[in-house]
Amino acid sequence: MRSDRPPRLVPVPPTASALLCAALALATNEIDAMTCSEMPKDAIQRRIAALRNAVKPPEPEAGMPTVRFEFDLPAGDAGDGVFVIHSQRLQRPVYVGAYAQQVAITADDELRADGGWDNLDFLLLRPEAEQVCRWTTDPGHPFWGGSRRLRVTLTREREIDDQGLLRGYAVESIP
Amino acid sequence: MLEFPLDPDAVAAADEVILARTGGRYLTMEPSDAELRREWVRLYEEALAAQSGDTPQDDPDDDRDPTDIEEDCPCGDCPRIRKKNIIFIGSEMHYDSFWWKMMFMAPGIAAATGSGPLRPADETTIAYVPEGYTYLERLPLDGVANSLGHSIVRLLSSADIATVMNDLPESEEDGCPVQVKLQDVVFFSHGLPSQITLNLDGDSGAVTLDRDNLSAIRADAFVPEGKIHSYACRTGNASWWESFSSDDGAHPEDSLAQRMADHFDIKVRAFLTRTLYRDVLRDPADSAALASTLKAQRDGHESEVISLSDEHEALPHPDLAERGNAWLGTGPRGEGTNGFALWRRAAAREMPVGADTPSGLSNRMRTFSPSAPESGDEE
Repeated sequence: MRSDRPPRLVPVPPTASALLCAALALATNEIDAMTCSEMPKDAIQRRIAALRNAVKPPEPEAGMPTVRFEFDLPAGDAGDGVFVIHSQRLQRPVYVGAYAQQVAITADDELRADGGWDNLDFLLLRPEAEQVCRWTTDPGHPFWGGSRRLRVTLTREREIDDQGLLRGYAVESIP
Repeated sequence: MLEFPLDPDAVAAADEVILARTGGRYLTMEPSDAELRREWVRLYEEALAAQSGDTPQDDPDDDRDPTDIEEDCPCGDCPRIRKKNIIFIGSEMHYDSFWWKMMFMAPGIAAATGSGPLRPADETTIAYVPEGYTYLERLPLDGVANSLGHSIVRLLSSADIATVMNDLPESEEDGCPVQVKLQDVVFFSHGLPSQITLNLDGDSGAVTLDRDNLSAIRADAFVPEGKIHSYACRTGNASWWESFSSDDGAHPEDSLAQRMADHFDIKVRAFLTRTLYRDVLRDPADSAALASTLKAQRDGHESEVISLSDEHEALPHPDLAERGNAWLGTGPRGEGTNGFALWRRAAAREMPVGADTPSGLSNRMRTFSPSAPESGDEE
């Protein structure tokens, strides 16, 4: 039976209230705490289409080194988003596809130029969630310097240091 | 020999023939039009002679290009040159931060008021990338442009950079030809090695000047004493390495700065290192006081301009730096600076300087001269 009476408000003790807020703050999806912004679904879909047009994956040839990226973001958090690895040196994406915790890319002559140094941006575009996440780091890294495994830690909170260098992810070589 | 002022009927007669030949396109001062310009002069003189019933005299200069008129022009120095400065201001979509949002606007506006490296000119254009700037953040730009008579151009693509720099109209003043030429061009923007990235991380597409699209800009755009000043990171650096043992390792001779010096035959001033805009808007020693003042005053005033000191104010910017956790005290929310952009009422305190990275490189502004980079010519 429907009641027209307003629901009874039950006071919550201050300590419990604070704990509840903290729990809610920490219980959000991992990705929501990262460097993400909202964008309309159709705008994200247009952007994905443009990225798919722009991507030029390296042509694997015998003897070319392979760079294996290992990301720390759980695959479940990425959902059905489109993952992008964008080379600032080449001014185009080198990978546009499903997110996977391990992505292997062949380092062709173009990528290996200049010692393989590059600045990479990692993007996750989630049309259904109307969300675009971007991780970028200012100091470059010799990503394409030869066959290697690289662990990429996508940070929860980007930092800007005293010299104005932005750090949105960390890279370390895995033996 | 052409005599000024030109006869309008004879001009019309010559134009009619030439325009029919070019499909309606007016002649330019480009070398590719030299033959047609000579033809235009012949037609003009024929039309003039027909009006007066004279026969055109044989003139030893008959086949000369009418742009070679310095000796004959009755107006003194001809064509008259109108000097134009351009200030390029990039978007700031990289940091997403209260402290850095206006880092390019501040020195750009200071330069527009005469505080930067630009010399006085007959006209000034401010070309900026609008992405990510709110109405309140654009307001100082509009104000300085209106008060000083500068024009404002919005940049939406890489091609727009060339369009702005090629906008050098020819006209006539008191019967004398007038040519607009660039004097000083300055860039305040993000940069990558040999790329001036005016819309780095922007969603609306790249607005970039690099070694590939430089050739779209007229090589004769500048006056001989023209200069380009780039306060973008690493314009004079052709390498992506982060550590060097000497400046030579950055291959400045292959850099965008050197290519611009060669292409325009002018001097270009640029950095091999990244550039540091940290001190442009504030003394870092004041940062804590600015943040705490904003945090204390913002409640109930999130959509208003908040005065932070005699010098500074916080401009409301919805969605800017909405990161971190106010309750846990992390990120901009914890700092209390989310949703606002720092502004200094008098624009920049100083021009940007060279940063310490990549390591091993001189961080002073370097002069690149045509054909070879100079060494030891720093500020």
